[in-house]
Amino acid sequence: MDNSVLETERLLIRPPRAEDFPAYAAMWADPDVTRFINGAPLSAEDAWAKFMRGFGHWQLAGYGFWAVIEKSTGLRVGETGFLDVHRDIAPSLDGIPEIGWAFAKAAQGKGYATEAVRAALAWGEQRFGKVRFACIIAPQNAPSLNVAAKTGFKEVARTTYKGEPTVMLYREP
Amino acid sequence: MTAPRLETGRLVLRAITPADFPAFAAMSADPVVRRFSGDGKPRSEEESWSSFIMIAGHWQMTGYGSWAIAEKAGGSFIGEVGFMDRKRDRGPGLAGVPEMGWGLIPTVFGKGYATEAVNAALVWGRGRFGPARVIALTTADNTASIRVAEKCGFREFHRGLSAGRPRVFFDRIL
Repeated sequence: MDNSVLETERLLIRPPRAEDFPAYAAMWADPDVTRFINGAPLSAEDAWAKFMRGFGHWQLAGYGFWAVIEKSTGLRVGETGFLDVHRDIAPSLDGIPEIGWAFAKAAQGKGYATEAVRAALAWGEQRFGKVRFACIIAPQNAPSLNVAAKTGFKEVARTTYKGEPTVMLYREP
Repeated sequence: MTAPRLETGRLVLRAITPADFPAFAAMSADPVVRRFSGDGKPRSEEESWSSFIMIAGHWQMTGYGSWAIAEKAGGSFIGEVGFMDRKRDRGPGLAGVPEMGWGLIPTVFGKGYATEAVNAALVWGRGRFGPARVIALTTADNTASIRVAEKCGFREFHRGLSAGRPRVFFDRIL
């Protein structure tokens, strides 16, 4: 497992820790966070399962999602990272490193996601090389589409994922 | 932590590795295996990957979990066994009680491997948890797994629905 810690002007981006769970569960229980990602807030048990999977992902894939910490407060404000989902989606994302992010409502609108995603992409170019990266975003999720545009992603397809419309974007090297 | 290596007469119980995933996904997509598990439906590759990374994460978060089962002769993945606590509501008095589960690929059914693997996991569990209660759930028509549970010292304490299907609830003290 890669223990990389990334740092930006305002953020510390580090691997997850067990003690992150309360902030993690609170973020994923917030309908403002989940309406464009999972569709519904996560129960404590579903958040626990997702949290455990995050650690397993790091172990088995060798990379995963970092916790994003606001330096000025020490609070966990969100997460970003690369994920291997084996998604049942067309066009296929097999072999294309996929990036994702999510931020707590209180941390939105400050440019944190763009700052964190830029740092993650720079790490990704070291880890995976100068290759194509992908992300998928709900078409009505304007803030995340804006983050994607600012970090170099362009729409390549409109498709569906788990029955919901989704935009697929690539960032070419 | 990751799963410690355990050995029985014919089997090795070890931590899952990325190389196990194709065999794990094939097992999870097999209707014969899935008939008695969860909602009874074969799993997509995406659903299998989600379960697979959960196995590794469970060990890291709780210090226990599930092992990959391999034949000593061969070494490739033939099934899984272990203890899980997904903090699901399984019924009154069951919060925090580890739940044992096991599953094998159909080509090794009928050899007594499940009993052998469950017994090895129980010995480890006694060291990990002490003389604590553990439970196991089988679907009510899964006679092979019910026999494994009985041979491994479990006794039925309840019948009821879990994940929408009729189950037999077994327990034992480690």
